[in-house]
Amino acid sequence: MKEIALIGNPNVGKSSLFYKLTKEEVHIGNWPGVTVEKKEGVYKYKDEKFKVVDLPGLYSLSSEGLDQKVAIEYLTKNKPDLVVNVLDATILGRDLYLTLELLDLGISPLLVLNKVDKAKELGIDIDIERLKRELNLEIVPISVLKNEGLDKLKEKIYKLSREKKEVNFKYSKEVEDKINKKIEELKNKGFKENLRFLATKELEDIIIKERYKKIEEIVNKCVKYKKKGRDICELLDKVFLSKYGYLCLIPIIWLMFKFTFDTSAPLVDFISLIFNSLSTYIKSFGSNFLINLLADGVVNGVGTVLSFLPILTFMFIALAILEESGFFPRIPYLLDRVMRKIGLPGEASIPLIISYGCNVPGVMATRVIRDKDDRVITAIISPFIPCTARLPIFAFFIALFFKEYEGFLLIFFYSLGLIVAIALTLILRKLIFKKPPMEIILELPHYNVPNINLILRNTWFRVRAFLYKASTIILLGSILVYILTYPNPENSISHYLGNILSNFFIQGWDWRAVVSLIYGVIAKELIVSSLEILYKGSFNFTFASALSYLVFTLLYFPCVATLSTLKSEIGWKWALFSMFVSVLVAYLISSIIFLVLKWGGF
Amino acid sequence: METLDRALGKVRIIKIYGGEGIRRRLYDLGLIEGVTVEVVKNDFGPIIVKVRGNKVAIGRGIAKKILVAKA
Repeated sequence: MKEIALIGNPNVGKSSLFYKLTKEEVHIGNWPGVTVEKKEGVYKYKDEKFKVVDLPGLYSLSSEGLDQKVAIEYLTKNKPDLVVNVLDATILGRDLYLTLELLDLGISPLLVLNKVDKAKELGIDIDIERLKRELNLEIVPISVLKNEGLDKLKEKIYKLSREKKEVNFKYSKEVEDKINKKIEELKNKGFKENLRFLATKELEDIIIKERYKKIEEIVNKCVKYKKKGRDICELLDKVFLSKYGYLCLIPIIWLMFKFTFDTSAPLVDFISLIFNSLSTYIKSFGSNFLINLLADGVVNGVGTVLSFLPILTFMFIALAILEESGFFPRIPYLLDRVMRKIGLPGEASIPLIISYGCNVPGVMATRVIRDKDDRVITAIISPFIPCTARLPIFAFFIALFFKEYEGFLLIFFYSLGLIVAIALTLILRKLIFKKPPMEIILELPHYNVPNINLILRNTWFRVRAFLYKASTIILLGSILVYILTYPNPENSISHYLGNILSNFFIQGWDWRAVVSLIYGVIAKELIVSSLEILYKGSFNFTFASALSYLVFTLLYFPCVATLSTLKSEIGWKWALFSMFVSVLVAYLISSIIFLVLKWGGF
Repeated sequence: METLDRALGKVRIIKIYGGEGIRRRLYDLGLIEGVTVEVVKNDFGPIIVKVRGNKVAIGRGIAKKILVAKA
């Protein structure tokens, strides 16, 4: 089997090419020790199998960043049989920088010019033969979107992965002399490998300029701009990036949630039905501890959590469409000013918006934030954003206790989480993460028509990876809750526990209300069904205790799925911190509301 | 000469002040000393420049650390 690596700048269509090449056998994981996504896949061509490794999208190999570290380590240690460098034909001037760095690393990549169709549309004419000669590299023009040139590419990969090609590329004589001198110095110091790359790193200030000079020469020789094509992108940006551009966000985000929930609703019901039937079926075999554990604990518990999988799936699809089309990368720009005022970087707007749908993809999306502190803060506060799973609790309580205040409470519900998130950010900035949020340096890519086929495949692999990661914690959580309520709620550990815990709450909740909170840890929707079962219709709430209970459920504890995501994104320490803080905050605010209401005579 | 946060139209980058991290990120996107860029938007919030056919948004605080001259 031959190993090939895909490398390229962000937004060049590298991942799309990856999915086009690899079809079914794909594995998404993380690079060892870091939360940088690693994609691997396999395809067969002629008599050979090819393992494709998709490296993180990066502009250069030299900046300090996890992506760069991962890429350099991989390229120098694993030494793939062929490095395929994907470039965007419409912005060759930017993309060639990485190519020159690869050459300095002693790697002779196969260049893939993607989006040649779009370049043609824009009147950009690239002399490919000339470009080949200038760089001494093989080049294949393709269009992933239109399926052009892929067979030729596979043939080239097949051929080049069997031969070693020496790098034959030089800067100006003056610079080469300096590099050679540095290489000698490094040799004397005992360095043996990647000498040229190390030398260029030491001569960084000179080399960066030399590389860009060289690129400008090459582009001037090989690229001709004919007529200026009509550019819809400019028109879109005129509207979207204008002073009131954020107004466009409202319908876009509304459509995103509408699509997600309307499409997934029937599937959610379907999954619940399957798990309920399965549980009933298992129970038909008798009744002992193990059977009940399996039916009520494992199957029902897991089923409840899994029933939100369709939501997650369609959310991923909606997000990928917005991401690929180019709208999403512009949101941090639009909201940067507001976000910075509340102590967050512009990039944090995306995870927070997504969190309104579901905290799990919200926390995952914190990966777009480069600065580690900024990222940890955003992940910690994301669970305070009321996800849709908390909506049923809200609807339930309104129907029972607060019919006349519906409109007011709706606004209250949606803003409370956000206000708490903002307040917490400001406090964390004062106490722990003292430096101000990073300012944005952000590429605004061209708008694109997204490729639905690729998005669907990408989503499928992502959902699978999530299931794989979250399944253990969901399973353990479900079993734990079952054991806590065994053999029936009235005679269980949770009754006992609920009685003790209810002493800690001044809000006057009895053990049934407290036990339901334990259920809610698995998934917040469970609180409603638990309350219904335990109280059997006669609820023991006053206006004040009900409202404070509602507030508590909205704020306390990220559900287990979110907790497991937090753990994998920012580590146990911060995940537990987020959990602890959320319970504390929920307790405090709920108590205050209760006391104020009671004092007011409710 | 002026800083980038006050510029509009075609300008040449003279000098980038500021920390290593910021300089590197700017270099990655092709914003280096000597290059000519076009400031396409500079009204509220971050500034947008066009560099090598590519649009980049830069926070105002960072733009204050980039010295440019009309090109």
